[in-house]
Amino acid sequence: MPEEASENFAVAGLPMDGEPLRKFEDSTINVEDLDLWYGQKQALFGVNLSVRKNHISALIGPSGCGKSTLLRTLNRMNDLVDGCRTEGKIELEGQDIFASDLSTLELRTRVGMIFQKPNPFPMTIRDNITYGPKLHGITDRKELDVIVEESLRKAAIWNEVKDRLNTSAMALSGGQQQRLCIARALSINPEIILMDEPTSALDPIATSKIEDLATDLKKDYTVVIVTHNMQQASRISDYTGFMYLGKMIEFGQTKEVFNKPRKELTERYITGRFG
Amino acid sequence: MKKFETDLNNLVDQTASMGDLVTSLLDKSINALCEQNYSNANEVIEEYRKVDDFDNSIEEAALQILLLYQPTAIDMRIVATILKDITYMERIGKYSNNIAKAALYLKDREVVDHMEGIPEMGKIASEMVRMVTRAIKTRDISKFGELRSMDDKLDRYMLKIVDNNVAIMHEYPFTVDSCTYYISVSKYLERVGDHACKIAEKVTYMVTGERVNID
Repeated sequence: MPEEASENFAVAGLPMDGEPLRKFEDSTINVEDLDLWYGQKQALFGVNLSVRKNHISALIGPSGCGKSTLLRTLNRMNDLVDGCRTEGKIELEGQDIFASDLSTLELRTRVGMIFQKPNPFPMTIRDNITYGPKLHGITDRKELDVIVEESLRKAAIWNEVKDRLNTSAMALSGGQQQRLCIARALSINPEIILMDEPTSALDPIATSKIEDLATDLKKDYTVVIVTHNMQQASRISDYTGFMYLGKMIEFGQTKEVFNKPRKELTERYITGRFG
Repeated sequence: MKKFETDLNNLVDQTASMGDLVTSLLDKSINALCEQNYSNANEVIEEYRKVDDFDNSIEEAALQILLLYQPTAIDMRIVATILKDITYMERIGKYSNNIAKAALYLKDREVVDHMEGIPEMGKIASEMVRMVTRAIKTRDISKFGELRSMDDKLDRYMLKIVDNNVAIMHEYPFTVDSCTYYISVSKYLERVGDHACKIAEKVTYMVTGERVNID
């Protein structure tokens, strides 16, 4: 099941109206009036979101609020879930991601994803990185070597693994595995990186490295991150969206959302006065 | 969460108590100077130590809350506001202490009756401090609009007191001691007004999230 059991609490009497779409001029993804169902159960309700290029957008909200569902919809990972259907529009650089002329392979090349639990392939570090490029037809050894080094450098793990590229990725620590997965995502040169609670399985030091890395990556990429850690959202993101019961309740600049949220519901959630 | 609420409420209560203390010190110091009530002067000097104690203990409790709970939104604004406001309050306590010391200094000195304006300034300054420190607890900022004109009054009184006392010193050189002190006291009270306005700015930020300029 893609979404964990809902632990939402009723917050009686508070308005639940969702955010209208306010497109950034330099947006890369725009989600407009998105509804999503898992079978009979509706998980997203009229969600609007504009993701700004070369910025970090964080999605926060209680378990089951739909933030991971929304994230997975951005590169159509939800297509793999039986009975999942969507209505509404998602555009990547103006192109409809549900259109038949955009394959999921191409979409997922442009929109990479990092998961909660590091999931390196059970093969060498080098092969983890070259897997994607090889799928895309790159076979030249020198070219692959360049990709391996560049990707690992960008993911701030090159110095730790450069002397053991041919050893198993499974022997790396959890934090290193997660950075390897980021390097693997970077190897096929995506435009956007989706991160689904990328540090929830990591210790504070590894977490801090991933956070620094996310901040570095926004120079070249756009990052959308789902996190349960509100301090993490406030530390690393430029924009924050608060979701609740499948709706995008508030979306705005992170410093404003955490300092002076516009909606009472957001305030209740981030100050822990919920339910 | 319950412990957090308790800790935060205690922090606000302690700050309100510190506000009550400095207001009472200010009242007593003005009374000591204007009514030659020297026991009040001694009390102010004695109780001023408690202001320092409040300053330290509240700062420590606020930092503890930041460390333990990493508050956000209104909670974060409360802690941030309190961290600033206790410094303003400590200064108000210090000025009250200085006024009490001035009262004792002038006790055996030859003075003429040229205190005009100081009791009035004391009353206005005290009311300003009372108004803003109470709001930290009540979050009622509806009367803050009056602060600017109160602060202007203090400024005008101070200029008038300086002029008067300079003129008196020219005419009666034996009053130099007392006139110099009265001028200083008027400056202290003018500063108290400024600090009250700064507290009001922070409390407004705490309540609304908006930054305003009052003084």
